[in-house]
Amino acid sequence: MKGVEVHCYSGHTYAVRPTSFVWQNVAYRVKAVEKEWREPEAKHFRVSTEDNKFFELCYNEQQDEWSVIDPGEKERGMKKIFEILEKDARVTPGQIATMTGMSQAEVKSIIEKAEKDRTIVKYSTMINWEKLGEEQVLALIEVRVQPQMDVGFNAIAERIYRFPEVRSAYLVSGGYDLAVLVSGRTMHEVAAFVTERLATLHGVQGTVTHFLLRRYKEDGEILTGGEEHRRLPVTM
Amino acid sequence: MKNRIARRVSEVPPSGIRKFFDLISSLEGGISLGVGEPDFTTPWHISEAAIRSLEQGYTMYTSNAGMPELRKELASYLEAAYGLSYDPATELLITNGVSEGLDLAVRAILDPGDEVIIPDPSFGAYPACVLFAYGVPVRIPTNSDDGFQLSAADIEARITNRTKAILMGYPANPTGAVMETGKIAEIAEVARRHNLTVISDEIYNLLVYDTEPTCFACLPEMKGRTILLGGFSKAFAMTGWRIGYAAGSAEIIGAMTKIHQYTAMCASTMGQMAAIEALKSGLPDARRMVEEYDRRRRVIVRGLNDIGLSCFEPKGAFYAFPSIAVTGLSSEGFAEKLLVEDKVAVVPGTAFGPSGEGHVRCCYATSLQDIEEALKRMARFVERHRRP
Repeated sequence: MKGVEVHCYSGHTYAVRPTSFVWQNVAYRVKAVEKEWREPEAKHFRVSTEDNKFFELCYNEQQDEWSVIDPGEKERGMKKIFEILEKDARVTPGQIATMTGMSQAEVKSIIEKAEKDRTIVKYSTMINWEKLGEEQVLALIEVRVQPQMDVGFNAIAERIYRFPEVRSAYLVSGGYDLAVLVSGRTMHEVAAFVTERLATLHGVQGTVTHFLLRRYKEDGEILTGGEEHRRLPVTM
Repeated sequence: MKNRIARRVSEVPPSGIRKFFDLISSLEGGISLGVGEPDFTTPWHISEAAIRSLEQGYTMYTSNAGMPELRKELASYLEAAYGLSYDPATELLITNGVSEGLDLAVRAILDPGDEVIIPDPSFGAYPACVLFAYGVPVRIPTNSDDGFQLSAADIEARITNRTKAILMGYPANPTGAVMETGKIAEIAEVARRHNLTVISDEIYNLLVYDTEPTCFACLPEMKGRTILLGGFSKAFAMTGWRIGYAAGSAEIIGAMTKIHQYTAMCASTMGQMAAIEALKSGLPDARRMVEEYDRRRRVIVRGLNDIGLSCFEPKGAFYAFPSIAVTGLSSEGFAEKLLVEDKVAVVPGTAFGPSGEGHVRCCYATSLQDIEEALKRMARFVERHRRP
């Protein structure tokens, strides 16, 4: 957001440290520069003010221009990027920049940061293996467990979700404690995992196994059939 | 020999898109930017509401003006969205889409020979409906330099003692133009001075990007002389349901309802049920779709400009209307060759009136992948047909 007037201490170069600024007709005095760093296009300062507010000031050297990064606006920008990537991970930073009106450098830096702090957990591809005739067996296992002192359900949950056969694991309310999605190549393989590895864990009181018979919808995608194109190709 | 078909009907040329329709239907691997409707299906909770109503036996006629509950919801919506207060009993009419509302409006107000001012280019049904109602369409050219906005001075220059109404639709099909507030205020002033009715087709009103939509009836002293036409098709992805509405003075809505009761009886009951649900809880869906259109809009506008088809920024609807001057082809020649050579369908600007020449309409209510692929093909096409 532009339209900020910044006074700063300049040593051997301009803008060594901002000292005060006026934004939206309010004057702020900088108490401390909490953090400063450089991005491809600009110097950034995270500052606290004497009335204990935090701002990010940014000085673009090429355009000789100060701006304030409004935290609300930054968050909205991040959300826009993640919404696009969640639908299609292949969209490039350049395309996202076009779609959102943000700069490519900004998009890249937000994505890199999100990858580091695991806001973006991973990029994956959803495959309908059935189309290749690959048999894959999935089972939803209800697991009743004995919670343990101090750690509650977490310790036993971890012992379960560490198995690579476990695709997803959730603590749930209701008649049982953990809902565990297990995959295997055959029914026999899944059954063997449940009876030999899962049910025998110390703390597991009982399991009920539901084999999945048909996948209708997964992660928001409808898998049966597929949307037919019903629109007329040309209309007024 | 007598003409079997009435002259005013046979004289209206067939829609300029028919031949493209036939062509693309026969092509494998074609991409269409020629549609005029969302690519989303109706949000499921809206369809579900209609299914439930069928299960409950809501399969009979409704009152001519539309279900009272729908009119009540609509009145609250117009109040909340624009601060306009309409009496649901006398000032609102539920129609079979805006198309019927448009037909009713011109039939209700025109005597034979009355003139109606229409921006050009614009939706092809505007002049056709006026002609079917024994009126005379008076087209006012608009161009990309003015962002395809209608100007008050141009209107005033065409006013005669037969001028009855101004008929316009902003956000606009085919240009994506939105009227600036100052400019609609000037047009309102002309309408007041010459005692004209304004028929304002605001079907795309929820589809605007970084701007405010046109609201004619909101201007001072305009509510009484404006017939506001709106509907559910575009914003809620409900084109096939055929539900629209008209809002205006009790006098005009009464006249329109009279025609509607004898020609259509009522809008479809299940469609009205779906519309109630759309107004009650569909606005977040509409906003979500608008966000998606906005992303595609930025991609297509940038892409068209990058390949030399200069395109002003459309602020509404889901159309881009680039200039094809760089090729030297006519808009119909461009659309035909592009379809045959590179299998991309666009609609020639001339399908929307003579001032559409030199432009084509590209609809971006289609997947990003298709938009990107269409842009690639169009880039190749423009390279081959660049004017020397």
